[in-house]
Amino acid sequence: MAVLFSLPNEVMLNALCAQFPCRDQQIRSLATLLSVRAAPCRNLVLHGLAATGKSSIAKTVLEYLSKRQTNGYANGSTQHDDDELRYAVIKSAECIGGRHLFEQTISTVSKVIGRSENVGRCENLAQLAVELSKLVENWTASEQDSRQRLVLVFDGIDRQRDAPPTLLPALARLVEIVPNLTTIFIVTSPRPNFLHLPGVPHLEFPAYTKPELLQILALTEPSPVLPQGTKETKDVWTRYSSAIWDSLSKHSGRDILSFRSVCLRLWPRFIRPILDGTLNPSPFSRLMVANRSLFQNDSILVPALVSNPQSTALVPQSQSQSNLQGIAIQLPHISRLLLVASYLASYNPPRTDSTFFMKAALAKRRKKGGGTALSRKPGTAKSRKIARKLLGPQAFVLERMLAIFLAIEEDAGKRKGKAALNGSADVLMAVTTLASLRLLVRMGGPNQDVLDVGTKYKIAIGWEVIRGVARSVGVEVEDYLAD
Amino acid sequence: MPGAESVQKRGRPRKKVDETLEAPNQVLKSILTPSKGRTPRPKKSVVFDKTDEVDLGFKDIDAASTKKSMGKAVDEPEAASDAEESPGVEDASPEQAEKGDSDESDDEFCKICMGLKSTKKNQIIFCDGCDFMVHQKCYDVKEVPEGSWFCKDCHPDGDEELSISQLAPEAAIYLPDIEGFAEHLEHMQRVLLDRLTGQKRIKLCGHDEEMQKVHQIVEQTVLAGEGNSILVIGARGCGKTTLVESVISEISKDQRENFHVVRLNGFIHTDDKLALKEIWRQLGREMEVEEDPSNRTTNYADTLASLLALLSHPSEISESSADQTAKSVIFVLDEFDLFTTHPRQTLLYNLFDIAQSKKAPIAVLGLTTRIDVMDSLEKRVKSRFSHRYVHLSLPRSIPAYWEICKQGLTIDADDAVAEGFDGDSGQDEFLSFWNTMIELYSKDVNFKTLIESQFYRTKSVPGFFTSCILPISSLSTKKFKLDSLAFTSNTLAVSPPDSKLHTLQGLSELELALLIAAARLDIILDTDTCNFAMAYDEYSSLTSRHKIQTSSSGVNALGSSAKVWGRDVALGALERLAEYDLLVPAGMGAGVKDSGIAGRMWRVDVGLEEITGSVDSISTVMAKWCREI
Repeated sequence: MAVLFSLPNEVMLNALCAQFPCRDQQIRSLATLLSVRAAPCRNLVLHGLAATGKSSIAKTVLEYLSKRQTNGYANGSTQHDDDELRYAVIKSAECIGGRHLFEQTISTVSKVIGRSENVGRCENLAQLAVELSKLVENWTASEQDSRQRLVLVFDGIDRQRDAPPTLLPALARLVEIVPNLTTIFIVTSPRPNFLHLPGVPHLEFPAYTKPELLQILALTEPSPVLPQGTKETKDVWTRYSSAIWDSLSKHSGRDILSFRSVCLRLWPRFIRPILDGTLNPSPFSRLMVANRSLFQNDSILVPALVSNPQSTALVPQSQSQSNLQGIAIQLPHISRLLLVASYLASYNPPRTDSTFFMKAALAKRRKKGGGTALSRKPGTAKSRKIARKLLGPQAFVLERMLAIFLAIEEDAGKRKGKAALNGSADVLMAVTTLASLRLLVRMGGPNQDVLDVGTKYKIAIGWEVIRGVARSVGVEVEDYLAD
Repeated sequence: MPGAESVQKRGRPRKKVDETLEAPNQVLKSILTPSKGRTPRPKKSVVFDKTDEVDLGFKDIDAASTKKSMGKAVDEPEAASDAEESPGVEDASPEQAEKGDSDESDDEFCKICMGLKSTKKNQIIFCDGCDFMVHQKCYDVKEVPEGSWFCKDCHPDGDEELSISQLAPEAAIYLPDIEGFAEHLEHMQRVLLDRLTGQKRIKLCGHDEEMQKVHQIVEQTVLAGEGNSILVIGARGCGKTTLVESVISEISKDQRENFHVVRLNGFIHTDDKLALKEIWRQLGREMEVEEDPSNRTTNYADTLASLLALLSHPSEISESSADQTAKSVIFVLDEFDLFTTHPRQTLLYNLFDIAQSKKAPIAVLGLTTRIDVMDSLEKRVKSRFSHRYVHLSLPRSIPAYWEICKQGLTIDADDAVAEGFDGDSGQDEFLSFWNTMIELYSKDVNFKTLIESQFYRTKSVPGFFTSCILPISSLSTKKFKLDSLAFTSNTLAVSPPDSKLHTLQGLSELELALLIAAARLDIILDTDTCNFAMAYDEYSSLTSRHKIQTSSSGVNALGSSAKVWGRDVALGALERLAEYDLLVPAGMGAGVKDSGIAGRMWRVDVGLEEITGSVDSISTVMAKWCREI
């Protein structure tokens, strides 16, 4: 009797669908395309944006399918107990190079099919194919007359570092060499024909829509719970998450993970009025009004190493302010001046230097104001001019920066009433320090002398920071900027 | 003849509207109300006589809809509904009918041919959405629909018939009375799915001549010991591998002992050293040469030398064993064009040289998609190549394409035994039933659209097969319904996305706004690159302009959508855009690594005019940004 066809177990599918809401279609298709008795295809691409459940659903479906006792089928026949499906997940994010990926693959597969012997080196695709087919042949030879299938999952393979150029098409052709193999590629957004193979099934995991996101989030249990009881909590939580979506998550971080984390992080502060006893959960609008600032503050969305919602909420701006001052405070006076000079050298075109920094031209410039801008007729340019500030820093030679430094140093000294700089030994030392702090970025080859007058540098800090630094040394950067 | 007149015009309910207005206890209706709730009729029964004919199996094609293809089987219910309807219309009082006639007779003419005549065969029908009226034939309406009919303007997608047939309530599922139907179905599904998923090869259609050519060459190598080389050129998915493999399997039926096959793939064996090692391994395994662990350390030259020795005619090496006949070796080089990129093309040179100088009986079969592959061969390699080619073309017409695709959906008589249909009870009946069903199905409009779209876009047979996997596997005795919906619906689609525009749907508002701002810069600044600062500046100026406009006009409903998000948040959004490949890095100059994500130059990979169309619920503001520069 030839082997028959049967779909995966309906009970199992329903359990999976309950575990991952709003992904019915994907789960069913995936189970059909992987199950040994259904339609096991050879290559399969799962694609979708971040946090749409690609990896976790694939893994869970495979886990269910690989359990021997549960892989009963839709038509209830028990004669297929000898079916066997094993799977190996290889995460590209954990592999630092092509070779690492291959060796990881081999070792995972040998672990999965129960061969403990140590696998040696595997340097290239050819070797991978050979080793894999050896492993699989050994495995299938040991158990005769049963349908066996190995599923290889390459998670995030499109982000593999140092991948050999033919990695993807070659992996897609493994199935032609290795019997009983299914390869799954999990990618973010597939390029057209990236496997160079026609007719590979693609399953899309679309981004969750707002109702779906809210439905999923409703399953999360917020903590702490309101004193009024769990039902109240659930009610408030639902409306609260909807409000968070409309005010914050819709605009930035619309995937389920960041949405959930934002909701959970803001929840304790949102319900504080209730816990205090000042407000009741019943008129939700009053709760909203009381927490208005919570929904208008986007600092929660800024990724930070230290996630401390308390402090970021109380001092949203001043923290970054103090951060800026931190740099200004930590650096000595000369270094700060050098930074300002570097900024000016980076953002001013060299031809304007004579207007800004030459002593003779100083008075003239003040009189003239924006003379150059007026001389041009409006509307002559075909396209809008790009503000120089937006173009980013340009490279400058060290010599020019030092000249600018001397010019503004005098100005700063005049304003603060400090004595002029005596000696120049410190200056070059300060330049190298700034370069090693990566506040200045050295351009060009590594064998260039750091302090050669012709060495090119670029400033690595932006306008907001430099303004604070400049004020701390008594220089107004606007006075010297060309536009 | 008022009665006859009204029967003729049963396709439209104008007169009935009049009736309902007069009837006191009927719900009031406006003219524009679609006449869904017309005179209630008993539910149609679509259960046929089981002995009548082979069942068609398409429950989605409602018998009551306008399909002609259903043939005789439909006649009965059609007639029944006729009978039901006509008396109902004749109930209308003679005055009313008269009145209706009198004003209809002046303005009832076909808008296309301006003819006034309405015959039984060619009636004038009326659109239920507007005042449009037309001859059946002028408008290409095969049969007067019983219910509402809409002209193309009122129903621009033209899928009226299909949607009716799909929405029709599912009639009782009917299965033909064949012994062991469920088992046969499962068996059939197994066989078909093995073909569809590529576990089993299908037969090659329409390339007999090419197949003959390859077959002859391989055969000559195996039998006569000739050295041969040939290139098989054809697009992806046109059956190059199938051709070669079927030739090899055919020859190996009776000559398996006399040749070895070595298969190499240009994607996997990326240089000559690896390829040689692989040849050595495959030959060694077939020739049962003991694999020496020290082999791994031997260098390239040694491997090549020993391989040449192995391949060379034994008589050349040692005179003593002249009577020994060498086995032929068939080299199948997949992605042949990639082998030409290997330095100095050593492998190709040696293989072609052996083949040409008859040192050993080998056949080199190169498979490639590139038609200009000869240009990339070096002169010395080219001169050793036999210049035999086989060009495989994709199917040229839809019937030819369908002929190939049909193999994934039906089993023809020759294959039936090979696939395990060995004449069990009811199997022949089942096969003929199944084949008739598929044959009929191929005439369905939806299905034709599917085939045509595949044909005109790719002509790829594997692509079609892939789209059939899920519909075929979803069949069961409980749900036996090959649904045209299943083949074409988007939820089940397993085809690759058309472009990266589909990712736009999943972007957050800020990401979308930044993308639009960056795409605008493309046009405004006349450069194709931009950096974060430029995009953010454009974004914030756009948003603040919008904010001023809305606040001045007093519209404050949009709330936070007019908010300018902070620089850090926007930078995170830009990072995600780059991750989704919507922004691609441009200008790999010096110091690119140092400048970080904010300082890098980016190129927007979508056009401004593409954005509006690919996001469903784009806000009006953003649509305006896309429109107006």
